[in-house]
Amino acid sequence: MKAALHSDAFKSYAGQFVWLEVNVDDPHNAGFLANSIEAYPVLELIDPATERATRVWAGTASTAQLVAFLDGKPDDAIARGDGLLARGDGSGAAEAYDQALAHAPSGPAHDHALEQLATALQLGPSPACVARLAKAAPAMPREHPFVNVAVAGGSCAAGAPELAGSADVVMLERLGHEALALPSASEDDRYQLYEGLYALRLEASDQPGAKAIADAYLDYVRHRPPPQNDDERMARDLALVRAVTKTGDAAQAIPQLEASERALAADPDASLRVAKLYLAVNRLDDAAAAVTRGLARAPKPTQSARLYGMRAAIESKQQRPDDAKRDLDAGLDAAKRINGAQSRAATMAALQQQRAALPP
Amino acid sequence: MNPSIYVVATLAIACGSSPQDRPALPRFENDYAGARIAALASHAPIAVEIWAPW
Repeated sequence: MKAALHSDAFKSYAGQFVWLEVNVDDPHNAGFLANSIEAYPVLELIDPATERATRVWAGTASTAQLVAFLDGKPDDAIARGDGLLARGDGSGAAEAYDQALAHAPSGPAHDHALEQLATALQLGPSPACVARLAKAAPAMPREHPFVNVAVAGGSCAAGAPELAGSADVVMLERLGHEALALPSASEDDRYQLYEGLYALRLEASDQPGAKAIADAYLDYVRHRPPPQNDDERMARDLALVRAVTKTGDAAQAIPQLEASERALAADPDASLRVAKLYLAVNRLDDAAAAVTRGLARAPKPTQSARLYGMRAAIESKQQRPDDAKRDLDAGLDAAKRINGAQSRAATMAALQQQRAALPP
Repeated sequence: MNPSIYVVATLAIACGSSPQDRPALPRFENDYAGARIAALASHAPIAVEIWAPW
């Protein structure tokens, strides 16, 4: 989305709005983000008089989609759904989008309602999301809304391992592969699709199938052109780390990630990414040193919690449980300051689980 | 980090002009209050891009 928002083609539309960039991990934004949807990136239009969101777009978007989104006048049901979605009310939003679908049984308005519905369903129970998207997505035109729905479907299916092998999950997996082959799928879409498809093969206990997905994922990442800016570099590094830790090729990616850590000198996550690779190849001292460098880069709360959790995992492997406990406690302190309630709870639960697994 | 406005322009939208003709409105980083004041003054909605740094 960021690439589309900053594209030349989009600039002429940008002047209609006061623009605000909000880092979800910045404590300054706690008030603004209270009771907000926890799905990123997200673009919202807010009426400054009522302070209510009137439109919301979560996930990836092409420039053309964003222009249509900003220019368009949605019907009442979509507008109502967007307002609810922006506040994180997935079930209320889904109900409104269902009404929009009833008003528009086909065409672009229908497809947009469906991709918004997919976002809303992701906020609720995964099995319901799987069932709905497996039935709704196959008939969609193979354009970008279909890609968004396929991404959401893969994510929901991966979140419902008890459904592995069911007809609905098989359908969503097939649609995920279809989406991967579409020219309208963006780079970020493809990364998410590979993640979902990999998880689904693992949940099906199909290790060779999962390995094949991981290999294709890594091949795709490796054939990206050189990054044009820091955002692209960060996104590609993250995808590379995720891919090589699946294929077992972490060692090969270390030089690139070390170079990125030097180039992105203020980015704590650049240190965390290279620490993950060191850990994957059992270079524990190097991994701990990378985390320490990350902690010196003024990390925000989520970043701090992740860095401390990573160093505790390293210390645990080094048979240093007391140091691991100290770092997990520091991570929990940082996690208390995470803005989103769900993200905060999930991060704290993971750190507490990690601490409970340490010897007394 | 202190909230910062990184492009400053206090310009009203000309009635009847096309989007392409309109001057750029201000951009803000991590400063909802500032963005809201600017939006109220210019009678424009706020477009908020919420992003995660990882």
